[in-house]
Order: sequence, then structure tokens, then C-alpha cells
Amino acid sequence: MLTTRIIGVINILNDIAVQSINFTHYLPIGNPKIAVDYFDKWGIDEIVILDINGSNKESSDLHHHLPKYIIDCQTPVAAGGGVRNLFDIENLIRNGADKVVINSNAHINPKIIEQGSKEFGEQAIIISIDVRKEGNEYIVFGNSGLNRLDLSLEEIILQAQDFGAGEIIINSIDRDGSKKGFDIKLFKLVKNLVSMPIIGIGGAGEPGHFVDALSSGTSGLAAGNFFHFTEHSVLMLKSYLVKNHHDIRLDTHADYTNAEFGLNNRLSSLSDKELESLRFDYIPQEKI
Amino acid sequence: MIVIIDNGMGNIQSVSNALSKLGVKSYISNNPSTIERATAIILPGVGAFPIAMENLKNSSLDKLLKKTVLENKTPFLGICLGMQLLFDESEEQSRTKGLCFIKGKVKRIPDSVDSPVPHVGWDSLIFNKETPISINVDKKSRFYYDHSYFVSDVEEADEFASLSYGHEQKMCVGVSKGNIFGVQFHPEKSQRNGLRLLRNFINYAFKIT
Repeated sequence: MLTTRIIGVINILNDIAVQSINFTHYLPIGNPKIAVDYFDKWGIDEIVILDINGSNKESSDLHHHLPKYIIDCQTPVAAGGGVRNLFDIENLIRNGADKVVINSNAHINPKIIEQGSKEFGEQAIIISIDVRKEGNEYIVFGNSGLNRLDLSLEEIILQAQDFGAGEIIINSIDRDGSKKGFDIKLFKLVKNLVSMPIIGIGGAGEPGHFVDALSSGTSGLAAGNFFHFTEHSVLMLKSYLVKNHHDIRLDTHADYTNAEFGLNNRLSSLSDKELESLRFDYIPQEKI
Repeated sequence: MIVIIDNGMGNIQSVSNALSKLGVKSYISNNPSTIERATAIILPGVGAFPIAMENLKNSSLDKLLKKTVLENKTPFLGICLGMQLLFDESEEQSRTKGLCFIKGKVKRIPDSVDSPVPHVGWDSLIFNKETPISINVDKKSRFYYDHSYFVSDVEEADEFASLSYGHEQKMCVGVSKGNIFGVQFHPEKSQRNGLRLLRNFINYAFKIT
């Protein structure tokens, strides 16, 4: 059985990993390589690296930096941001991306999906869609939420499928960085339109939000900010989900399945007695 | 000397990164004399079957691989598309003949409600038998898959691992035949379990027990 993927997103702005709030504010997190290494060691299922300024540049330059970010990483990586043509796709894959994420350009010029999947296989092409809710309708935006697109959400999704996309990332701009939880209604809507795997993102604030969204039938749940500011965030989330009887891959050297979770599902501290007994424990390093 | 074949496509650097994490130096090459002298050959692959096969033919690597792998018995590991290329034919895009090292066909995964295509993510598998590359690997391990086509009609003796996708689809995800190994998943992208499998292949290649 495939498990639902827990996916970590790293937004890059000028070679720095940043936190994104509502697609309008950006706060620095630090060196992207360190963020990648943490995700990898903490057993995340997939990493998405996005150059958020990519579509405003003359040409995408993420592929120059990508090799140094992922040199120590044994986790699948999807990369994107400002991908315009087959040349950009090839550059990213040649430099270590397992898959390429295409946003606005794929909606405006879907031919690129076809070219990419013909050359690298459909599993290598992920279409990312950013939506804002207006009334009861979901409106698709391009260029990091700046431009409103003419096509409807449904048209864009079916078009991506027809041209041979392998996966869809659906992102709620309203929930981005809000910590209010995923837009499950949106994920279900997209899931029911196509048969390919769907990844949902936007709004994760606590482990409970992942539990809620697991029922939406998406193949992956992604978050950025949620993972970046807590030590072992991925391990703790996964242990929490496994403890709540969800089928999640958890096979890191360390895990928290025996730990207690307290207020806001944060890790509870151990008793003094347990801490005392840990003092002389020898934990050998894993050898492969 | 471990040689990773550069077939002009796909993400080859990640295999080399994984090997260096294990302290093993590897060379990325499509130079015939380098490949001929290799202690072991790894053929990774992201991409479409017909283009990959065409690239192999254009650089005469198909003939060279026949010589080194089938005749000289150089240890060989095919990853993902690299495994699929070992078989007789694939129906990806148009029917294309493969390397024909192992009997079997590559088919498209049928679409169904409980099994979206491509088959992406971390899946468990069933080990049918023990092979040099699967020893010490926890049998409950999950590995990373990312593919829309799968290997079927493989002889029982050649298949060492399989999995069921959705309700009915059984897929062959691991083959071994003498010095030839192939895995459908990506050991270079499967964190510690993947590294363990690569370590086994290296040990096999250098006859370390």
C-alpha cells in the first residue's frame, strides 16, 4: 500500500530559504541546503524546492544552485519556479531534480506539459495551481498570485491532464502561512476531477490539520512553514499520525511513537526520572 | 571502479551522490572503454523508454552492454527505467524493443479509482526470495517509486520482489538473474533503506562478504 506522502516545501528567494505568508510577505529562514538536510534526516517523503521569484526573472536560474542544495539528500526532489520551456525542465532534471514543478507557464502554454512528459515521462511533470477563493468560487492565479487567469480551475486541471501531466499540486493562497488548516473542500473538488495523484498545500498549523486532511483522498500533503521552525518537526508529525492509526511511512533511526503529546500537539517533556535514566544511555550511530 | 552510465537523460547525479555517501567513488560516463573496464555498472533512468533505447543504440551502448554484462558477467544494476530496459519490449508511446537480457514485457499501469497513475510514493513490497542485494534489508522497508509503466510476464526464477497496486494489479519491482539486478524503485532516493540496498550491490560487486 502506498502511504500518503508528507511533503516539505522550501521557498527560495535569491538563494535564501524564506517563509511565505499569503504570497505577499517573505521572512528569511536561512541556508537552503540546511533546510534540505534536515528534511532528509527527519525522514520526509518528498521535498519541493521552489524559486518563488522565478517567473519574474528573465530566465530561471534555480538549476545553478540546486546541486549544492541537494548533494547530501537521498529524498526525492521536485523543483520549479519560472520554468518556461523544455530547456528549463532539462536543466533542472540534469542538475538533480527528480521532477519539475510548472505553474503559470503550463496554464498559459500547456504544450510545455506535453513536451516535458514526452521527453522525461509524465511522472516527471507536476503542475502547480494557486487559487484564491472569491465568494464560493476558486479563482486561479499565476505569477505567484499576481495575475488572475482567464481559465477556470476545472479547465486548467483537465487541460493539464489532457496534455500529460503526472501530478497536481493544489495551493490555497488564502490559507498560505495562515496556520488555519488545509482547505479540504478544495482538495476534494480537485481529487474528483482527475485520476492522477493530487498534492494539497496551504495552511498547516498543527498535526491535527494533517489528520483532518488525510480523509480528502490526496496522495500527498505538503507544508513549508509548519516544518521549518521546530526541531524534528517531520518526525514528530509522523509519530503523531502513526499513533493516531494512520498509514504513514516512519522508518527513521529515531522516532517519537513512544512520546506523549500535550497542548497543541506539542511534544510533552519527559519526567525528571526518565531524563535521569537517559544520562548514561549509549545510543550507537547507525552504520550502513 | 563503479560506472554510472550517462544515457543523455535523467537524474544521474543523485546515484553518484548516494554512492559517495557510502564512501564509494563512481564515474559518470558513456565512454565505451571506461564501461568495459568497470567493476560494476549502474544504469539509472528517468525518462521515456523509446528515447532511452534510441540513445543507447545511437551510442552503440546496447552492443557494449551485451558484451560486458552478458558475456563478461560484469555486475549490473538497473534502476527504474534502467530496469525496464533489460526486458524484451515496452508499450510506452510506441512498441519498442528493449535490451532483451531478461524475459518480460513493460506495460502501462491500468487506471483505476484506488490506484492513480503514475504510481508515486513510498510503497512496501514482497520479497519472493533472497538475493545478494536484498540481504540485511528490513523486509518491511518502504522504497520510493515514481513510474507509469511496470514490468510483467517475468519468469518466476528471475523475479525477487513484487507488489500489488490497487486491488488487483501485481507488479514485478525487483529482478535478479546471475550478475544482473534491476529495481523499479529508486534506492538512491529511498533514504537509509535505499542506501542499504546500494551497499549490498557494492559489496556484491567487490566480493565483500
